[in-house]
Amino acid sequence: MKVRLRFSKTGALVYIGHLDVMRYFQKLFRRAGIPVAYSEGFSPHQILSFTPPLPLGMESEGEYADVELVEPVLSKDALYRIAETSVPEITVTSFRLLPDRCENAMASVKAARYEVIFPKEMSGSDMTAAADDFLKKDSVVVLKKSKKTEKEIDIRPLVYELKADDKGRVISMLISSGSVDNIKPELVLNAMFGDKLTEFDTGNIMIKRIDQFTLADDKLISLDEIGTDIT
Amino acid sequence: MINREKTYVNTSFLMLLSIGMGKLALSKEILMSIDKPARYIGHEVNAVIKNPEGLIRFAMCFPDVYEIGMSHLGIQILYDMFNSYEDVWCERVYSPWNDLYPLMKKDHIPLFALESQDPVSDFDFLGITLQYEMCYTNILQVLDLSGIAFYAKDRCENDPIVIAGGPCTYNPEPVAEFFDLVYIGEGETSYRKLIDLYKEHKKVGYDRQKFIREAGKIPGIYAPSCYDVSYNEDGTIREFFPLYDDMPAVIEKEIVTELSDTYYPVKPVVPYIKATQDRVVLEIQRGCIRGCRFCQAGSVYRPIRERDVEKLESFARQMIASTGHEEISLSSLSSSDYPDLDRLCNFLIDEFSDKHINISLPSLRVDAFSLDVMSKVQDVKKSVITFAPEAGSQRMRNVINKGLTDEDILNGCKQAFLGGWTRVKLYFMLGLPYETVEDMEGIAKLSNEIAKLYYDTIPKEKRVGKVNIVSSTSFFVPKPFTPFQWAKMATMDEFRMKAKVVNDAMKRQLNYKSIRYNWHAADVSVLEGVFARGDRKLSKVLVRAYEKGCMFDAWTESFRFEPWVEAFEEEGIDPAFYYNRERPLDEVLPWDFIDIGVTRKFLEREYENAKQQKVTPNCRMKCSGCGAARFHGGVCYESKA
Ligand code: SF4
Repeated sequence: MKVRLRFSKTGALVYIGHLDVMRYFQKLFRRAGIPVAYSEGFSPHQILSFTPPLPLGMESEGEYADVELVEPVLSKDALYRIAETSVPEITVTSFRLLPDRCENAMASVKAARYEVIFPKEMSGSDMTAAADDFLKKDSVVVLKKSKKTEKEIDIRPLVYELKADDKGRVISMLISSGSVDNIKPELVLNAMFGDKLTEFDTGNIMIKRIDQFTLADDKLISLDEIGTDIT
Repeated sequence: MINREKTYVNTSFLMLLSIGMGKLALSKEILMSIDKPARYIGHEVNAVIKNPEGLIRFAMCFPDVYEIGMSHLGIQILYDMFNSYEDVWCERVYSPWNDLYPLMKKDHIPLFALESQDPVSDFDFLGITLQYEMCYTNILQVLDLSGIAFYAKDRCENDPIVIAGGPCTYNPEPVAEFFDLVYIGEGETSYRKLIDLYKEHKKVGYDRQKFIREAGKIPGIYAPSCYDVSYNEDGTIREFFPLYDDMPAVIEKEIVTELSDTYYPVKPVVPYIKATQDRVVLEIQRGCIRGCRFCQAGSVYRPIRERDVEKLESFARQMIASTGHEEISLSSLSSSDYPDLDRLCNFLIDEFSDKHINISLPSLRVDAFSLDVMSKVQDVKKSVITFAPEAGSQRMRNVINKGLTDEDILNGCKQAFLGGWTRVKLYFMLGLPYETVEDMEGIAKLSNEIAKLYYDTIPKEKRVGKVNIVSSTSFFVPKPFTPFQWAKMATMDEFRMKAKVVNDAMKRQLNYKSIRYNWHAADVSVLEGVFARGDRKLSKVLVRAYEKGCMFDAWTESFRFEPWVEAFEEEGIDPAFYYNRERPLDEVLPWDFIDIGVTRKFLEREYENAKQQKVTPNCRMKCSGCGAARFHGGVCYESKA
């Protein structure tokens, strides 16, 4: 049986890389006595799957790990035992049994919600206007750079929601994520503000992942809504 | 919908918040621009957080990078001990790596402790452990970044008291002037007295120098500023003497008599990034019965003392539960000499092997027992059989009193080959006293014989590829408090020649293709040799080398020899005086004021025995009256077989 954990990663722990987060969970499960299943072979490892790596330096409230268990544990017991031996900056908030045939955390991610917090106010109307402008367009072609390649893509269809608060500090966006059509929130910000962005000390714009979503019946739903509590 | 009410939060979080913690000493910009920022953020599982109000703050520094420092058991023991004191908060400090160091210098960011992220300069004590000579420039980096003067005499009233500990303090003289105090011996015994004295002095108008002087009277604690040295014309020491009548002329090492009744870190800190030792470590015993003549640890930790096996079993359970580590390992100089090894190994196998916890058993003698155990805990095909013959010939092994014969090695290998092992690692030393070309060539011959043994033992159809033999030589560095403390160390050219002799001999061997030969760098060994037996005159060389950018000298990638050569030249100091010189037996040695229990007379006798190639029996076979019996514990009080 497979369970899905939702966890947050905040504070100092944003500087821990993805591989180390995986190691952290392996040790956490052993400390908390979670009956995790191991793979076969001479060097068995825990059967685990995580949502795509969170960039170093970014906070998140919606990370997920799927783990195979050898026997069930009550969700509330597991959460309690995990909390007892966790660092506060990684807090597990749910522990839910997944349906039998269910894509793993890594593969199921189709979209992610981010919150962008600006260090100082950008006039409220400016920000709302930029968001509206963006949404009105039929296509927004940008240059997407990866380590090796550079290619032009249209990000407009990959942005599902874009909202600015009227105080001019926070932008919320729901954008495509995962193994296909993955885009970064920075790409959207650049397309919205262009050079104006440099007026802000870009290093101090805080981007936070709020949640990750998958497709069910053509609708985006939170990864957290797939499973059920073990009671 | 998602029910957020069920979120449980660890209570230490509330503690952190209540004292305004969670802050980081380094900015986001810096943390994002350096390698492995997790080295500097603290916040690990089992890190101890206290409310600092009214506590004595102790910064415990391992002057190397986090992954190395975090792997050290001794520091974990002291961290546990200090934090078990209600009136002390002990935190960890490591050397900022090469990428962070210039950023801290440029922005004047003070060095900080991991737990509170507070500057080291705010602490009451800065303890620095000296594990190897090649970390000496890192001491200066730590002081520099902390804003603390290099020389103890230049420090301000409110600077932390800088205290050294660890194995290199058995000759602290090259770094003595950088320290207010030096703790000589095992840390578990005298620190409580030091903290109490400090609190007393703080109560009644604290005067730094007065405190240091009083602290220098606590057993095992040496206050370098209360001593002076005079020299003969040839640079050797005329006299080492206390400046005040009430200071002890000799400092006796501290030692834990009953190892089973002392501190053990059952909740060690769990790093996020992979430390060099990412596992639970059980220290099964301290000291060694063997008396190898090159080995400083075997001498200064005398007599051997064991930990009770039942306690170890309980530690093992507690530590696996508190860390979640997936590996457990034993620590000692020679695990095969632990009397309850059978029971302990069986316990580990029974308890942990079906819980997906790996068991690693280093420093085991290769014999039927250990091979049987190893085949149960590791993949034979992947694991390596390790021997440390140290010398290539029996003659030479008698010189160094290494009680391992060719026969032992070959028998061990034969059994291992039959058991399915195909990889053998051999460790040797070059440049040992009285070494001949034959002894060096012996290294190649022995390697070849082992390879041949494999082909003779395992029939062709059962072989899986070639046997794989890796022979490594390090260069011998004479150390204080060993019978070779008077010996002349070879020069760099001599070392290179010796390595060439071995390498050439290797090429002549029939099974050359199955053997790989590695040797260490000669320049680092020579520096190590200088500082190991150095005196106070060397501190200025260290300062100069640091100013020239020398740091992390134990790391091949950052070690540069030229600045060192310049530093010696500029200070007018000839390194050969320290390493490439046979010392007469009547010379005053810089470390003569330390009493480790083992007497000078015993060491002299052993030096003579080495010359005669005479073997001295180990402590369990027969007591040789080394002097360590005066500690009233350990093997000296066992009945001999
Ligand atoms: S006094 Fe004897 S038994 Fe004790 S450590 Fe020395 S040689 Fe060994």
